Amino acid sequence: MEILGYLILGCIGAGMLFIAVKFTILIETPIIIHGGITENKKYISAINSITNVIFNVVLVFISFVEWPLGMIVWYAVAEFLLIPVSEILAYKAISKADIKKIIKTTYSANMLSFVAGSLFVFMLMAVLSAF
Amino acid sequence: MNHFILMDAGIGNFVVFIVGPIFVGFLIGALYLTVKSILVIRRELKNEKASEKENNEQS
Repeated sequence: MEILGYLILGCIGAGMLFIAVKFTILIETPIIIHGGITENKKYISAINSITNVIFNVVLVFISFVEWPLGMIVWYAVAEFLLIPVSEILAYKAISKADIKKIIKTTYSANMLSFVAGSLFVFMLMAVLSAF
Repeated sequence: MNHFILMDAGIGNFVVFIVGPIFVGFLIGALYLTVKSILVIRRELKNEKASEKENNEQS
């Protein structure tokens, strides 16, 4: 019985990550496709998954050591520099589009997902704090 | 693992029984997504190169 409880909790942990990744993919995929970079949905999903997973795992580890400044710095550096740059390089490897267009589209997709994700977390916190 | 060792180290019940399993699930999910994504990226890049080569040969 105990094992079942642990399994359910583990599924909740994995589910939280899957929801975060799916949310990013849902926002970014249409922008990348309509931006004319690539139409390969599998590739876009894979790139977004890998960047989002690394971002979230590091964020969770920093939150465990209770270092708020580190969390803010990581959030800013990752969202504004590491994730867009790595995605630009990844799309450049597969796309024939102009590099300026890739940079512009990738940055706008990432900024939109950043704003939407932040709003989502903010609203979740507000709802949770009500209880 | 004997959880009493963690308890002696000052880690509370809530962390051992609730946060621990959630975190382990989170890490397993992260590992799964990472491996899956790496495999997909490698395959898609390989496909892209192959189709590019084919196009060049045709032209």
